[in-house]
Amino acid sequence: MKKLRVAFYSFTSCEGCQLTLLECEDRLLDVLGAVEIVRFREASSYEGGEFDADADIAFVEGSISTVHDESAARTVRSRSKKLVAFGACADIGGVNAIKNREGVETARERVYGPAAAWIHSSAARPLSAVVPVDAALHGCPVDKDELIRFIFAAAVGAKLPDPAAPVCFECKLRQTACVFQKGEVCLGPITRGGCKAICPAFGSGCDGCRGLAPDANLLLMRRLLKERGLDGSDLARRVDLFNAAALTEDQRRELIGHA
Amino acid sequence: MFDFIPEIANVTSVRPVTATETLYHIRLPNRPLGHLPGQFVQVSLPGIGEAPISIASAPGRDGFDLCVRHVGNVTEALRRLRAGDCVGIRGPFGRGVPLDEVMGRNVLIIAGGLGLAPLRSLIQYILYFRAKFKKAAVLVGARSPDALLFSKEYKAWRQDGDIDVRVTVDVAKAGWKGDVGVITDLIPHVPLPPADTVSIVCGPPVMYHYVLRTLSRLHQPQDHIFLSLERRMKCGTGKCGHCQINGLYVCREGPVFRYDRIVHVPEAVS
Amino acid sequence: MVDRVLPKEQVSAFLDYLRRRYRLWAPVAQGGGFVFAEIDHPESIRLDYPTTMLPPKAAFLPPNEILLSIDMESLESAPPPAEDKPIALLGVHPCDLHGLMRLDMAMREEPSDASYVSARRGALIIGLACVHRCRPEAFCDSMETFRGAAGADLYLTPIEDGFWVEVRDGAEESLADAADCFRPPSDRQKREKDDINRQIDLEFSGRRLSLETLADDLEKTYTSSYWAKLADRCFSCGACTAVCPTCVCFDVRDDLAGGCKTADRCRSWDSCLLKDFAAVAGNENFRPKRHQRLRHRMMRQGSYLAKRFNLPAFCVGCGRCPAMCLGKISPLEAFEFSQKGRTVHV
Repeated sequence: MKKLRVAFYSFTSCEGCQLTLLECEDRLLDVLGAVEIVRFREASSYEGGEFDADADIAFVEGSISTVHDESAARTVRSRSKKLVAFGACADIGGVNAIKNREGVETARERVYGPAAAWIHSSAARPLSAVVPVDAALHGCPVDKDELIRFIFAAAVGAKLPDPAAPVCFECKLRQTACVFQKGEVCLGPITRGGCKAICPAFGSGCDGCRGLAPDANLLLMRRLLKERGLDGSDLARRVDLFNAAALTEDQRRELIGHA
Repeated sequence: MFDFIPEIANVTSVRPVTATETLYHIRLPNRPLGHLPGQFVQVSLPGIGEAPISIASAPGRDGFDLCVRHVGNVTEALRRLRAGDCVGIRGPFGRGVPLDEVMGRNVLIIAGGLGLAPLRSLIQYILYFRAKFKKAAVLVGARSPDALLFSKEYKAWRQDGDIDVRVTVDVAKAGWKGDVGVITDLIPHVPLPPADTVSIVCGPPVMYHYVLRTLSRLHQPQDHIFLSLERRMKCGTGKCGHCQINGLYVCREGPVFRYDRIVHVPEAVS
Repeated sequence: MVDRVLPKEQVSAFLDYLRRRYRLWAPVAQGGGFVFAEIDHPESIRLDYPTTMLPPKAAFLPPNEILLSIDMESLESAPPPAEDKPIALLGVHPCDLHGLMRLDMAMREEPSDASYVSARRGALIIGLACVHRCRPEAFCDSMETFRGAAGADLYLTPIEDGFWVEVRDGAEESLADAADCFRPPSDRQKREKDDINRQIDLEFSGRRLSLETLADDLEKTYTSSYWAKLADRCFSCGACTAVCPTCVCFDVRDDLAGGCKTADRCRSWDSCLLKDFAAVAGNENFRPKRHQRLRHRMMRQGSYLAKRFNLPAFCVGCGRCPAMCLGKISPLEAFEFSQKGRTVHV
């Protein structure tokens, strides 16, 4: 069987998800045995054009927040059979989308100061806001095991099922004492799992980097956090860390109390 | 005792049925499958997984047919299979149509969409042993003429088997001369006495309610109706829980249920 | 049943024996709570534990396990080699003993599950009496699972001199090489043990259910609006099923290993609370609503499996799920709701 041609690209992001693959050190040879990597700027010395490869699967990291991102995303889409939103920024907008809430102009002026007028940037959007996406790897960063499993499955023509269980489920399997019950704010009950509940395992509450779980009970979350004295803007700050661009207006209203 | 080890079976032919369904003929190397109409097998591809597929041919020594709709992870991957390839098979599982309760009576087969696949097993059985059954009718419903399964076989069912085959589609297209409408519209036209007729129904979940209402209006006794139910059969042995309807495991106690035994079971057909 | 006493000074010799002959699992402290774990250092064992995060079912039905490894070329598949030693589970409280019995019923119902049977084969189950209620959420008294040596090969009751040990008929053989550790009980020790049992009966006297009719009562609530209301407090996160000693639902999926040369067919715990649990290909979901899934779990625990295996209930009242549930949903409240007005308070 011909090896799958795989490309890695990044838009507005920290490129940490690509780094996550490089950190799978003992498994990289297996990955290279299973697929052919045709573009991976972070890991290669290739100096040609960045978006000039035809790929079976393109893993795209980062949100779309500039005109360049947007046109490059279209190019990648047109040259790739399957497009994977690779990590939280591409999947749900991620951290970059915090600025959407305070206003893009304000953010630009704060970051670039007097040069703001020279810089183009738009609201940060997930990849799916610009081009059709075939699959997503969630998380900030993506989970190593899930990434490797995804690549291997793709190599034999399978699609990894999206994890349906919220973070709590895996947290219990890991026998971590519940950080929510200890008084932390933890978004685990409403956040899509698949991360092996790594944050609670190290003592901090879930920040929701993998997006909302299917059928998340947002009203219940709001009620429980209200009992903790968390309301309105506190709650919004917490939720918007990763999900500022991910929630619908209705979902925001349910969770935070206002849109 | 059961393990999850599949038998390696040979795919001996691959025939496209519609744009979304393919018919595979499969042979186990060492044994006939030994199934009853209505039973299912777990088909697997290594690295991709298992999917429950109902058996679409009559019991026999010469392998068996599986009609696969390519909608899931495994079934999508099955598209690549060619004659000569191998697949993993476990089964047969579950309870099929109890033939002793059907033989000697009139048979009314009501099949919607992919529901015709498991019922084709029974139809073929009736063709083989025609004298053991009284009158037989097959009602077929599909979304459109393109979506009809096994349409080339209807003629043989009619001629060789003296089976009253009636077909309807939800949406017609140019050249379609048959009925347009829901499958329940066909039922009253079949001249079979309810008390001496056994109905066997398989189709999409939404269909059962309407078919059962029509059969009940025609005074068909509930113990003369058999329903083949679809659920997410995973292990095939009543353990994994996915196919559970209240106290019943569809993979074990079904997929074919006599209606009077599930009429009061919430979630089954309501 | 034979009665013996395991004197304090013999406990460590007995543990050594167990570790020679078995893979020893016992409660240890972890992250502010307790867990069942395979024991490397016997001094870490904590028989004074109240309850564990996960029930001991993980010893026989692990949260993740490889059922088969399949060669991608030949399609030949084989289960992983069996472990060389059987498991000894030490310190299993009565609710969990009842849980293990139910797990056995579900997994050994014909056709029995090969992987489970293999893990369970030759296992030694050592029960440990509960003298005090482990947590307020526990309702083992209502489920009548707070007592008894049922399902245990050995059943320990802590006494001043060590442990009173009830040895199940047929289990003496597995102790033959450890016979030196045990003593015949004295009359004083017997009196002490009887006193403790009376104390246990007092401690767990808060029966609040009529178990005989629970299954039928619960099914009568099927169409009640109660379930939708209860589901307002449910995240459908599956934590309750994860910590449940009698939930057995699992998923099976393939994992590719070693550059796609072999595929591991893996089993992992699943949960009927999860949105996609009853979904089939083609966008059909047979329990799409949260309250349907919550009701299904409660019915499974209080009725469906109870009837299937001829038990008063499948739930053993261990109290793990209400303690873990952020919405504080307890099977007890659902069971009590179904018996509104007829609840027995003892």
